[in-house]
Amino acid sequence: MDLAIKRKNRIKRSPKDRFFDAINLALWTLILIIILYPLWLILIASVSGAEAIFSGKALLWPVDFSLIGYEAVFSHNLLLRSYANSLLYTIAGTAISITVTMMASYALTRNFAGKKFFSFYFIFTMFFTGGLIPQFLMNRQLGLYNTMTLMIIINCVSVWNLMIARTYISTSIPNALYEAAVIDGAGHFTYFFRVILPLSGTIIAVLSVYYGVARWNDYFTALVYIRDDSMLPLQTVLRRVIATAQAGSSLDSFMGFFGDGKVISDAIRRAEVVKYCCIVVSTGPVIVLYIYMQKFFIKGVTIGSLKG
Amino acid sequence: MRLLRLPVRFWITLTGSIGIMFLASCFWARTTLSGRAVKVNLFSLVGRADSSAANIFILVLVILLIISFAAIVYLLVSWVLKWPRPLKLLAWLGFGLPSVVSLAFIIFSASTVNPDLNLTVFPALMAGVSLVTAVFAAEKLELAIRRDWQLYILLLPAVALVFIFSYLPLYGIQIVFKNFRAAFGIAGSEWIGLKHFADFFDSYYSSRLIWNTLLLNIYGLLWAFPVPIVMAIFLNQMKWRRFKRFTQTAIYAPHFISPVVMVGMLFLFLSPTTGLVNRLIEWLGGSSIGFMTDASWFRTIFITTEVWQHAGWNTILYIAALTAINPELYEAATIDGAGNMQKIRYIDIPHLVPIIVLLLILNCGAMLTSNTDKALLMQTPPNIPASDIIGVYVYRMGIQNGQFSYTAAINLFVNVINFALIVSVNWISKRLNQSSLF
Repeated sequence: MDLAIKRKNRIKRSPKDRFFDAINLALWTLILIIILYPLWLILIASVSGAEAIFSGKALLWPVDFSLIGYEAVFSHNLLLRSYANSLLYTIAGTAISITVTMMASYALTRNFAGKKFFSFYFIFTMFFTGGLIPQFLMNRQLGLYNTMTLMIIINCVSVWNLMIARTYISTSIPNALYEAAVIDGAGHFTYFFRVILPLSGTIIAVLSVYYGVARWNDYFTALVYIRDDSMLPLQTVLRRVIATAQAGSSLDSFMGFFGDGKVISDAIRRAEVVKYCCIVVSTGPVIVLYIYMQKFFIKGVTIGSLKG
Repeated sequence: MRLLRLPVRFWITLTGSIGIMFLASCFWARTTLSGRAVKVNLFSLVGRADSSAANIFILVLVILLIISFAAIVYLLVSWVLKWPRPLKLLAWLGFGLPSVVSLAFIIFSASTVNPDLNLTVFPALMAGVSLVTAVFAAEKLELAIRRDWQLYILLLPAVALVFIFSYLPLYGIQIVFKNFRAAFGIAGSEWIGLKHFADFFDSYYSSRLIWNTLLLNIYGLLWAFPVPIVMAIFLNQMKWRRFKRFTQTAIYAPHFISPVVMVGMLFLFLSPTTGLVNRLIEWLGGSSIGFMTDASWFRTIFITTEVWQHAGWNTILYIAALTAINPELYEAATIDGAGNMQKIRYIDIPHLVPIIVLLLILNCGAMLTSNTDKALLMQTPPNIPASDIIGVYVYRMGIQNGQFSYTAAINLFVNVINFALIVSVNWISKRLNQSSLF
């Protein structure tokens, strides 16, 4: 009934507006193609035959379906090893990050002696840092150079995320809950674990994506701090494989990397397929995580990012 | 738990006395450390031991010492506070002056005896700070700790991690005034004043580095800044709910691609021999271009991929601002016969202006920061004239070539400028917008 009235009374859209809508739709279709096509191209290239990619036949759909590239990737020890390392760094690092961030951000929402000091203590680091070199020397002096510990605990606290979590807690969890809990005799620990954490699902999801993706995608830390191949994370190894400078030299080192030795045209092409596979294998989990998390995401991000 | 309920005064006295005992045993002692006999005071030990465990142990001891410092002062102060007013004043002078003098003495005398002891400066300053805070907070302290000790414990891990990775390096900044040599350590290297800064500004690289960094950020502002605004406005006008949702999910996705993969894709697609883009150019009758090995293409590619990757993600803030607009405004506009473009012009844009101004100002404050991750990956020997930005240069010359002091000086110079920029920009936005970052 309501709906029928609504429909009847609706103001007709002018031809101008319809034209606008059509243009808008066309524009967005174009943008979507620009954004999604390269990703799709990589996906199909990773399962196509080397010749088909090289000659530009596999543009819309896989041609000469094959999994050679993936076989090469999954039989390579260093890649597998670094994949495992990355998983370890990401999972352990993210778990620590979230625990530490949630604890601190809760504390910063309460009034206590020294609150201003601690807020300043954190925020200051956003604006002034010692820079790469002093940090490197200091960590080396602490004995953290070339250790897995460093890879897990470095950058554990992102002040930006801390602020997002603080805003979330202070705006979306009513203070009345705290008063009620205190009257019932709860301390900060009880309140934090029994009330705050269960109500912070959204922000924890957002933080886990932020922290997790940052860690998974980070190659620079390992470039600076890790010397042994056995401790390298995936991205740093990937850098050697897919993001090396010149075609000739990179292919040389690349073939050396995959153990063939001789550079022949066919091998070059196969190497290209392997690169596509590497991209899929390394980026796949992140995209899947993102798509899985995105329902929490849009809500949580906008809550946190608007300054409260 | 019951044990913790003992008066705070008790705990402070306890740690204090442990600290004093430690002080007495360590200050003038000869200590054997990993096989070497070293004549030390306590502070000079940090960072000297061979194993990280020993170093951390020593660090803990130093912190304990500092606490004990504060504790003694606290006990004295709380005792003094019970005195009548004139006596109190006398006591402030009586305790305050000698403690300042002795602090100065510790710092200066020690560093002349042993160059390593300017390591004392940092802990001693901290002790000084804790001393002052203890004096001012003495009355409140006991109440605060008794009521909120759980909060301090919740804060502790984050504070500790930030301290290790952000505040300890501040101590290492002193190498910019020194000729750092690994054998002597940070504290032991010789002072050479502003030589590294002078070297940098004399060198041919300085203007090129600063210019490259600046240019990359200016182009970023010019191209990458407006795109998300336009995208957000047009996405907001999208009538089909499902399509809108899907689009939103899709345009955020590239943000999660790592720089390595992003640049890897560039190398694949833009390769002069096998890359698709060049195949297309050849097919259209052109000749293939070495995009990645041409300095004149570097900024174009950098900014284009930046837009491709992050423009969608950067719409989030604008979309949030747009969804917060009261729908009645649109309804009223529709009744008044406004078309889409008019709604955009008279409703959307005025609502976006504050946030646009805020973000614009913030971006202006980041003019000398460098996206080291990506620029480093995109750097090939032929494109160095364009791709050498400050962050990349610091990594290449500092970490790879070991010119620690020199590159740290460059980095510090840029950080100081950045800091000044951000602070001034924040001040401006406070004036304009009544909103600020901090």
